[in-house]
Amino acid sequence: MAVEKSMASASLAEVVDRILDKGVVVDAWVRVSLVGIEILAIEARAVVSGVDTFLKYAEAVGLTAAAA
Amino acid sequence: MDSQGKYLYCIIRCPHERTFDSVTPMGNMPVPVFTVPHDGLSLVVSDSPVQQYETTRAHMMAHERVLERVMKEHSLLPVRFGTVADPGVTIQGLQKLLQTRVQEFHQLLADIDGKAELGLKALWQDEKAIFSEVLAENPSIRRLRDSLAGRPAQAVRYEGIRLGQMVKDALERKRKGEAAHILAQVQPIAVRTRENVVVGDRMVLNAAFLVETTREGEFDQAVRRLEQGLGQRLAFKYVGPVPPYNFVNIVVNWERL
Repeated sequence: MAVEKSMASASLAEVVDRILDKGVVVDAWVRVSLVGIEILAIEARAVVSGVDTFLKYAEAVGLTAAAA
Repeated sequence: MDSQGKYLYCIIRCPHERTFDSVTPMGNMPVPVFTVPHDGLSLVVSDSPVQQYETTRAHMMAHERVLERVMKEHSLLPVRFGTVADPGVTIQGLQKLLQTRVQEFHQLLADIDGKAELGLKALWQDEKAIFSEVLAENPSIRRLRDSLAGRPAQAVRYEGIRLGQMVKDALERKRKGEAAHILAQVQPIAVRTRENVVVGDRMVLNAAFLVETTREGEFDQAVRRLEQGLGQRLAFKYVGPVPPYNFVNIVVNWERL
């Protein structure tokens, strides 16, 4: 088949998608340091909430305003 | 070895002590991955220093590979990445963790028995083509764009934002429509389905399915048909069987045990 079925360990993205925020949680034990992940999430939110995002979508459909 | 904690991988049904060969534990140390049994259940653990494991490729892959190894022989309840019991927690303490929720764990394992989690993502192959379709399908977007064309950027800032919002909404409607079409082909084969957040503009679907292993071949066929029918338009990423992270979500409060 053209679409290959693989184990999750074949792709880091597939692993990240699962093991960091799902599954059995044991409260109060040492867990993953999410510092890096949180920064990524904050950056993603900043982009999503920004005016620039909408302007990016406007550009994607060919809005070409004259330079100011 | 007093400073050693225990890294937790998963919970399985296994009444005795055993080790899992052919697998490298977290921390890449020459220590065994072994079971701590209690009441028909076992925690699968390895000795580990008490530390916050950074989310590096090596660490995450090591965790995943241990689960995939255990999965060859057992239904399992996967534990979240980076869970380490501190050295003060004895073997009896670990057993207590199983003891307090023994019925629930048995029930969850019974739910998972004979089933496999499969993952399917679909992404638009060509983002530009999709934006062209959005334009073609939405005359109001086209009209607004044309009315703004060539005017100074400052003068059309607010309308540009409105245009972007319209595009974003139209894209989301399109995404949902195509996701529903894909789901309709595979969801009926699954026992349970979970849709996760899509990431980026290209991703149409990010879903996990719990499928009876007897029907896994049927699911493969359905994905193959999707690929044959939509492969020009959509790239499919299909994984499985994977540890059932999407269908096991429980919190055990250690301090209240």
